[in-house]
Amino acid sequence: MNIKKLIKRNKRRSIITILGISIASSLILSIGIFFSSFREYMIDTVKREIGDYHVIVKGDIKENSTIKKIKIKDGRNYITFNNIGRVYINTEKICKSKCESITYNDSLLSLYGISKNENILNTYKKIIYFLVISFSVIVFIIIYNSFKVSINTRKRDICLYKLSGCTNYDVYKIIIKESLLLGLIGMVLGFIISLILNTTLINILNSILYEIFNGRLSLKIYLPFIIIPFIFMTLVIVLSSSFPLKNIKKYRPIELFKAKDDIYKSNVKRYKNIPLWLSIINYQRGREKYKSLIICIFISVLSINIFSLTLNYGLKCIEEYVITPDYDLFVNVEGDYNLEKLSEDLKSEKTLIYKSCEYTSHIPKDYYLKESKEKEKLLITNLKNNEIVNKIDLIDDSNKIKHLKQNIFKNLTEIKIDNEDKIIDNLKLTNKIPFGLKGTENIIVNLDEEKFNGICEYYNSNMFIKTKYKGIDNYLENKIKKDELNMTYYNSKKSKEIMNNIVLLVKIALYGICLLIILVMLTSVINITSSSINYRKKEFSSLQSIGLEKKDILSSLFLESLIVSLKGWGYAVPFIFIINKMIFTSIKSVFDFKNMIINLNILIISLILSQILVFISMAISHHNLKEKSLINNIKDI
Amino acid sequence: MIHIEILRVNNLSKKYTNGENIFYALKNINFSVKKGEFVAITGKSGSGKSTLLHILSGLDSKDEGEVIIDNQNIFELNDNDLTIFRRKNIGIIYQFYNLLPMLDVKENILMPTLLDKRKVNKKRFNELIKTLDLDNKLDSMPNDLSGGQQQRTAIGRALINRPKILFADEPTGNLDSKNTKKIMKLLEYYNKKFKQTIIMVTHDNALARRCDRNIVIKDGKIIKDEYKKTNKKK
Ligand SMILES: Nc1ncnc2c1ncn2[C@@H]1O[C@H](COP(=O)(O)OP(=O)(O)O)[C@@H](O)[C@H]1O
Ligand SMILES: [Mg+2]
Repeated sequence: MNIKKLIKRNKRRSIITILGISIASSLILSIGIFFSSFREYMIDTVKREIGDYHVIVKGDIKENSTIKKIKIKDGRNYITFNNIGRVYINTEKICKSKCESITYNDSLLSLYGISKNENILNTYKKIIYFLVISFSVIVFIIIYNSFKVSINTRKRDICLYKLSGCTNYDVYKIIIKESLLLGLIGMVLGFIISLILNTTLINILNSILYEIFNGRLSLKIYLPFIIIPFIFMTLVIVLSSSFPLKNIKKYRPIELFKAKDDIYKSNVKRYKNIPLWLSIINYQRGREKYKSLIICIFISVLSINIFSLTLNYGLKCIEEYVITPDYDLFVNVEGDYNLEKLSEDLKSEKTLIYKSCEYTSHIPKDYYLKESKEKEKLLITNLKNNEIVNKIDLIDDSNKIKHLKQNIFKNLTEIKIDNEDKIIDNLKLTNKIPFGLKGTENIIVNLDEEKFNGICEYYNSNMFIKTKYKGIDNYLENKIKKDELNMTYYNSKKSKEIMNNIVLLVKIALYGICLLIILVMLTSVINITSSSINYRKKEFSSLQSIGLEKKDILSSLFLESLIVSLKGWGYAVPFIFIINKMIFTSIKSVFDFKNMIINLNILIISLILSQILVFISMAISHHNLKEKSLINNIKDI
Repeated sequence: MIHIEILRVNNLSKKYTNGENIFYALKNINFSVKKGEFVAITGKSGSGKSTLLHILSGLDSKDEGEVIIDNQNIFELNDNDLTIFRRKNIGIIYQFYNLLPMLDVKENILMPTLLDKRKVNKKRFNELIKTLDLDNKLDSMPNDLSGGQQQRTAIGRALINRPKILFADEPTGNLDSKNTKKIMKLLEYYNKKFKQTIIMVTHDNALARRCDRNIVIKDGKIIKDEYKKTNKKK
């Protein structure tokens, strides 16, 4: 039997299978390619920051041909070998246990997967393993499923082959060959897709995260990351197509004429509602076939929910435990440089600035509502008010202390600063904290220009800036260079932007992965439903010929898809809950989380989505059945 | 007896195109059938008998002409209305039974009634299964039945709604002579007792001779249309 002919005959199914394999392999290959590119970047970084050597050896060494390069510095040999894989053996050889000290470049070695020491990069490796293993499992199940279905629905073909004289072995060969051909086409397509995906991703990364990359990421292919997925996919395909064939000996040609699951005796009571009745009967007798569909739905509902949960936990950690400053720029100058000029310059650019200086204060005990220290650090700021910030608010209004919120000071009228006896009167108490000072332990005293100048002679400490001025970085850089200032600044707006970009990127990546999983699942769903509908083609037409209206057929399909997707979803829900609980317990001690995140929206959306997808693919398959006339479907046994 | 015209076929043609070739499976068919008639359609294999029957029952499309059943031109109905019309007015029996494999005998027979949202007429149902000799097979699944039993179930399904017209395409083509006799007797019984109009395709001339009227088709055309000697001429 000619394979090309075979594939041509089952054009739609073959195309869908190829699509499924290509999306699935692009999913795995993309991770491979992305991490090979990232690895290359890391190698460059390590070589630049730590050094381009494999090992540092102190003492006498015996040079041999395994060494590529030796650099001697401070009496130590920085050695690079020809073959990094033999770095431990070669080091032994050149040392002959006479070396005084051996220090391996573990950061570099671990990037080649050969470091014997624990390393931060091992965590990075663990993440890859986790991702690759979980995707592999998903891909395996889905591909396995889709081949299993495709072979089960081809019982008829198999019986026909046997009728025409094929031995079991011949049938086996035909089907494995066909699957491998489809798989190969799919994998090559998947490789191309993943190249395109990665090029796009790397370009995006380079353009939005240029600040944190020294140098640029570029597309690199590290062969093991490509070959292993290829071998894995091939194995999956061979296994998936050969495993269901183990029953091939049992297939008797007579099965052509009698399908087993037709003899299913339903114990469903006759319902008044015929579509409901039919859908339950059809679900019950199609149980075996629907198993695969239910597994598909289970896997996709599970993965979508878990990914979005992981994302939500991650975002919550960032939100709660990474302090996001409310100023754009923080400038600090050492020495007695007057910041007046700088603030004057910036004022013209719609900039909000305030200056501050620090003093130790003396607040009489009488002024406190509760017991407290008498001496406190006092941060004197200039934002044109005469007010003092009520201290309890400085601990921030996190949930814990919300109910404690109360004034800690009585009406304050005076504060003494050190021994200098400077008295500030007419101070108001306020809860407003000037920007940039959230979380400060100090008492903040906010003064108008005149009083501020009276106390802080130099603005030689800090300056917080809120600005819309885009060129502020350049302006400050130039200023530092020109005036040779000992000034540091921190652009928190930019870090915030980078943070947001990273979050956005992670979101895109996770939802992109979800989308790919949905697509792989969809190809499986289409394969399963279309074969199951096609199988029932004659029944639909017979039913229609005795008077079942089309809308009733559709509503019976709708109910059938609802039963199936509810089932797949229902199995997934407890797993989602358990995994959620596991994530929660593992991070709650670290991050002090109060409540588990339960994302009902995603849970409901995933049910609706899977139901709709199954129903639509059923309805489309049913629509495609429609020959010019009913009789063509009825005649076709 | 008043002779109500139940079926009228005007200039019916059906063609199949195979690339360049146009092949007429039916060409210019004209005839009418009155209520209570038992018509046999005979002809060689491939002459177009099944095609004709499928078009008459609205299962197949036509190329030219009209089919009027009980004053309704069935090709003026849309797909859905045709389905409803069929379940109210038409019964169909196939050579290969075409029962629904997932339903038992009782459910198969009652399906048209349930689909038409009618109340099941218990008396009629009991009478029907008694005549069909299916009373102790009601819980069986079609695949567990013999050919004769399956065909009797199909007849029950076709007759449960008392259709205006019953079409049968070689209903005995797949059965042995004993079962053939039984089925033929059943059809004759319903024709006589309930004035059931029946149009039956067969290539068995012995069976055709037992009907009121015999239409012979050759290469898609009617070549003979005669009534049994005892009946009066058209
Ligand atoms: N779907 C089809 N496509 C092409 N030709 C068809 C089709 N169905 C039937 N025919 C042709 O129409 C003719 C009549 O067929 P049919 O009505 O089944 O004959 P019979 O009298 O044996 O029942 C035959 O020559 C058959 O080959
Ligand atoms: Mg025929």
